[in-house]
Amino acid sequence: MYKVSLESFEGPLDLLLYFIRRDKINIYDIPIAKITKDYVKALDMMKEFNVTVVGEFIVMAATLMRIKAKMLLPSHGNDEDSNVEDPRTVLVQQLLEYKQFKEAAEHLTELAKNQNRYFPRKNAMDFPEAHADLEFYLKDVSLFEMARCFKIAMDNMPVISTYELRREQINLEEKKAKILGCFDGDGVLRFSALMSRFNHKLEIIVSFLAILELIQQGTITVAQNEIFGEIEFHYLENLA
Amino acid sequence: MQGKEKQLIIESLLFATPKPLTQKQVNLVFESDSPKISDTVEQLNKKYKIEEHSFYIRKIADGYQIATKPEYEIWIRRLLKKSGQLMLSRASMETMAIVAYKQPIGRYEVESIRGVDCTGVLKTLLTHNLIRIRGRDKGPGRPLLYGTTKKFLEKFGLNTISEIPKLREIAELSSATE
Repeated sequence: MYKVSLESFEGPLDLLLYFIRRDKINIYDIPIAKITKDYVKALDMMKEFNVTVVGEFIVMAATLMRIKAKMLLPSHGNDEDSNVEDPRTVLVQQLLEYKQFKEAAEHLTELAKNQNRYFPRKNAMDFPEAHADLEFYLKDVSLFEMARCFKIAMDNMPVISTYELRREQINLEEKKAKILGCFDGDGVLRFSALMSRFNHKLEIIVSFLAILELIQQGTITVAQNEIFGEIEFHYLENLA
Repeated sequence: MQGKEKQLIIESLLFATPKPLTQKQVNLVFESDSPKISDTVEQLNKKYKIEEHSFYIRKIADGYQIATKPEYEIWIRRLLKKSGQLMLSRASMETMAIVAYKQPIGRYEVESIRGVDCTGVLKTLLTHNLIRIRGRDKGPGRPLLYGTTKKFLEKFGLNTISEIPKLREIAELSSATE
C-alpha cells in the first residue's frame, strides 16, 4: 500500500516527480507500468478525499497509458534501427524542464527569505503636491496597472440611456399642432427659432413635412424678405 | 560644496527615499557636479562600521537603500508583528521562476512547462507587481509576453536580472543535497 501524502501537488508533472524522488527512479529510464499504476492510484485517492481532479491530471493519466501501450507493442522493423524513438522521451524532457524550474523556484524562495531578513527604511509618506507633475504620477505605472484601471473605468462607466438606439415615433398631426403652438402673439415664427427646438434628424424631417402640409392647407404662409435672409412663417388665421 | 556636505546630502536622500536610490536620481538632485553614489556609500558604510550601527547601506535593484542588519530581524519582527515573508504559493514561485528565466515569455509557454493552467497565478504576480507585460508575441493570436519588474529584484535581493543564479548552478546544488 502506497502512502501518498496529500501535500498539494502543483500539477501532474509535480506528482510524477514526487514518485521519481520517492522511489529513487532514474528519470531517463522510468518504469512506465509501475509509475502509471501509482499515478492512477493517487488520482483515485484524490477523488476519495473529494479533491477535484482537474483536467490536466487526467490528461497525464491518458499520456502515461498511451506510452505504456506503445512500449508493449513490439517495435516493427529492425531493432538496431536507432531511429525508433523511446515513447518516453517527450515526457522525460518535459519532466526535466519542469524539475529545473521547480528547483529554481525553491532557490528563489530562499533568496526571498534571505531578503526578508533586511528591513529597509520605508518612507510611506506621499507628498504629491511637491511633485505635481505628470512624470511623478506616471513613473511607476505598469501596463497591467493601466489596463486594470481602464477595465475598472469601463465597468464603472454610467450607462447613458440617451445613447440607446430607439426610434421615436413622431406623429405628423401632433407635430403640426406643436408648430402652430410655437407662433408668437403676432402670428410670426422664424424658421431658425423653430429649428433650434429640434433634437434629431427624424424630428426635423417630420417637422419639415408638417410645415409643408400646413402651407398646403393654407394655415400658414412662408416669406423670405431677402436672399439668404431669415425665413418667416405667418399664421394666416391670425390675419383673419 | 564640500565633499563632507555632499556625503551628508546623500545620506539624507537615502534616509528619506522610499525606494532604492539610484545614481540617476542623485544626478537630478545635484543638477551639476554630483558625487558618485557608490563612492559615497562606501564612505558612509565605513563610518557606520566604525560607529557601530545596526544598519548599513545595501546595494539592491541597481540602487542603494538603508537597511537593518539581519541580526536585528527578530526584534524588528516583534515590533512589526508580522512574518514579513513574501507570501507566494508554490504555484506562484514556480511561475515566477519560469518568467524570470525565460522572459519575455507567454502564458502558453509557462503552462506547457508547468503542465497546468497558469492564468490565475500570472494575474496574482501582475497584481503584486512582480511581473509586467513586456509586449506581445509575433505568433498567432499575438499573446501577451511577461517579464520581471524592479520590484522582483528588490524582493529577491538582486541588483540586476543577470545576477539570478544559472539554472545549471541550481541543478548542481540540488543534486548535491539529494
